[in-house]
Amino acid sequence: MEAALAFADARPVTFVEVAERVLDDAYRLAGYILSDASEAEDAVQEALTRSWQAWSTLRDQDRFEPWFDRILVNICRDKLRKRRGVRLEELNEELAVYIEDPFRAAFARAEVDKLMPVLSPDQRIVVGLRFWRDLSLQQIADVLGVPLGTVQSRLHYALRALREESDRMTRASGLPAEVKR
Amino acid sequence: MNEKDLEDRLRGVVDGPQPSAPPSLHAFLRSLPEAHSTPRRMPLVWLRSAAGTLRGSVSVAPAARRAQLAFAVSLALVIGLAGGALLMSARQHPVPAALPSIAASTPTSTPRRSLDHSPSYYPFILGHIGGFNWSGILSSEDGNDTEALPVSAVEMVGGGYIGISSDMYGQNGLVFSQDGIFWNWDPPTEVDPSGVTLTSIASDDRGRLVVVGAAQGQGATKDGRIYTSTDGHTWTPVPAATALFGGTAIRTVAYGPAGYVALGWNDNDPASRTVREWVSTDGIHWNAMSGVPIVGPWGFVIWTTSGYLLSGTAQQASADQPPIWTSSDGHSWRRASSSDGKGSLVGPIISATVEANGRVIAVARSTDGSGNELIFADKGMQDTLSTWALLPSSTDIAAFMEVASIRGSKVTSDTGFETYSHLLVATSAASAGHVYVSIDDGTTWSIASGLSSFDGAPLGQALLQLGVNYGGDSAKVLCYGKPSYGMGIWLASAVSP
Repeated sequence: MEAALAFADARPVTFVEVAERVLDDAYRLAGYILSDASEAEDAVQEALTRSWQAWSTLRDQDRFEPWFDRILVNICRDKLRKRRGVRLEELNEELAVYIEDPFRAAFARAEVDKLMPVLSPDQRIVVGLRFWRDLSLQQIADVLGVPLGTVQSRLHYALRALREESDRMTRASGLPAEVKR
Repeated sequence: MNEKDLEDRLRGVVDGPQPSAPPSLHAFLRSLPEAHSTPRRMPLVWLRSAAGTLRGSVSVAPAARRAQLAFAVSLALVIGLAGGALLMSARQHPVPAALPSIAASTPTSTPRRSLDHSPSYYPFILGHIGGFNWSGILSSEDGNDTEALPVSAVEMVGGGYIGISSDMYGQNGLVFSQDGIFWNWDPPTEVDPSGVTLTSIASDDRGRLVVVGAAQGQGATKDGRIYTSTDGHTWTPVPAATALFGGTAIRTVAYGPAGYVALGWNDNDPASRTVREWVSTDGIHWNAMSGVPIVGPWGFVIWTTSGYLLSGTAQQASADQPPIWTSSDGHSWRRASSSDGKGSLVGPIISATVEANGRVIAVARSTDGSGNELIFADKGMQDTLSTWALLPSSTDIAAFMEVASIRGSKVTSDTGFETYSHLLVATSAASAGHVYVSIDDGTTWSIASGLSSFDGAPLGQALLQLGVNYGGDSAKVLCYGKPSYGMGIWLASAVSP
C-alpha cells in the first residue's frame, strides 16, 4: 500500500520551484552566449516551455540544471545559426545609448565584443560555458552531450580564432599588440 | 595576444554586477500551469502564448511577443500549407516506407496509389499542442479559424464525433465534427447554462449519449453531474444528481453491454482518497456502488471484450497483483494478477486500448518513478483479462503516454502493399512528443517520423486527434481521420522557418 500511495505523491509538480532556482543563471548564460538581453529572454522563455513540457521525462530532478542548460544551449545555438544569415542594424544610435544591453556592455568593457563574431555558434557556446559559466571541460561535455575531445577541440579552435582575430585587428590599427591592449 | 591574456579578457566579461532574469521571465515561469499529473489536460497557457494570440494571458517581453507572433504566423502558414500539401500528398501517395524502418524512412515515390477524390481543404494548424499530449482540435468547419482547442474526450457517434473541449477563455462544452478533422467549436456548446465542467463522454448502442462532469458545489467542493442526450444538442440532467453525486466530481464514464460505469473523486479532499462508483443500465437511472477497490485521485475504466477494466491506485500493492480489476457487470470487481511478478511496479493505468484479437495494451504509471510502464493482458481461454505482464519494450520507451489500436490497418512499403490486422500507435512524453507505431502487438516500436500514412479506423477515445508538435527545427503534424477518407492517420513533418 505504501508503494502505491507513495506513487501518487511521487509526482510533485515542482517544476516552477526548480526552474526558479536556475532562472538567473540561465538568463545570464543565454545572455552571454547571445550577447543580447532581449534574445536571451526569448531563449530562456522557450527553454522554460520546452522543459516544462518534458518535465515528466526527467527522472532525476537533481539533474535539472544540466538538463535545462542543454535545452537552453540548443535554443541559443539555433538562434546563433539563424543570426548568421541576418544582418542586424541599430535602428537608432541615440536610442541604443539609453537602452544599454547589460551583456553587450559587459563584452565591450572586457574589450572582446569585436572578437566574438569570428566564433561559430558551437565555439561560442563552448567559450560561454567555460569562461562565463565556469564549467569544467567534462561538465561542458555533459551539458552538450558530446565527447570530451570534441569540447577540447572546439575550445582550442575557438581560442585560436579569437587570438588570430585580435592580432589581425591589432595589425590593422597599426599599433603593437601590447600598446593596443 | 597570448592565450592567458585572452582568457583573462574572456573571464573579464563576467566581472562586476551580474544581470538577473527580468521580472517578465519570472512571471512567465509562474504562469506555467502545474498540470503534469493529468496527462489529458492541455496546457492552455502555452497554447495562448505559443499561438501568439496577444490576448495578454501571459506576460512576456515585447521581443518574446514579437517572436511568438512571428512564430505563430509563420508556423500557421508553413504548417497550414505544408500540412495541407502533405495531407494531399498522403492522399495521393499514401505510401510510407516499411514500418520497421519508419524511423529512418523518407517519403518514397513507388509504389503509389491514387485516390479518386481530391482534397479540398487546408487544415489550419496554429499553436503548440502540448508536445506530448497531441490532443488538439485545430481546424474549424470552414478552415478559416486559427484557434487551437484541446479536446479531452471524443466519442464516435452516428458517423460523426463529439468531443469535450474548452476554449481560450476556459468555457467548457461540446464540440462536433463530421469527419474528425473539421470541428464546430466556436464556442463549445454548453450542456448546462448553470455551468458545468465536463470531463468524459460515452454512448450506448441505443444512441444515447452520456456526459459526466462537475458543477460548483458548496464552498470548494464539486458536485458530480451527469447529462443524457439522444442528439448531442439537447441535454437532460440526471435527476437527483446532488443526492447521488454531491461532493464528488465525476471524472470518467465508460459504456459496455452491462451498462454505464462512472467514477469520481474529490480533488479538494485528497486526504480521503475516496473513489466512488456509479452504475446505470440506461444512463438515466444511476446507483451508487460500494467497495470500489481503488483510492484517488485517479481512476480509469474502459470496456473491453472481456468486461469492464478498472484501474487506479491500489490500496494494497503487490508483486503478484497490479492495480487492475475486471468485472462483467461493474458491480463486483476481480483483481488481476501479474504473470511476471512485477505487479508492484505497475501504477494506475492512464491509457489502454483493445486490439482486434482482444488483447489489451495499456500504459500505466510506474510506482518507482522510472517512467510509465507498458503492460498487456491477453484475452485467454477463460475470456478474461486476468493475467498481466510488462511488455519488454516498456523499458525501451519509458515515457509512453497514450496508446491506441488502429484496426484493419494497412501499411504500404517499397516492396508492395502489406496488410496488418492492427496497428498500435502510441505517444511519448520523451523526445519532443514522438509518436511510435508497432505492428507486432507492442513488442517492438518504431518512431513514426517523416511522412507516412496508414489506413484504418481510430478505436476508442484516445487517439482521435489532430495536432502539431513544434520541436525546434521541425514541426510534426499528426492527423487522425475517418476511414471513409481513405486514410486514418497522417504523420508528417515540416520544416519551420
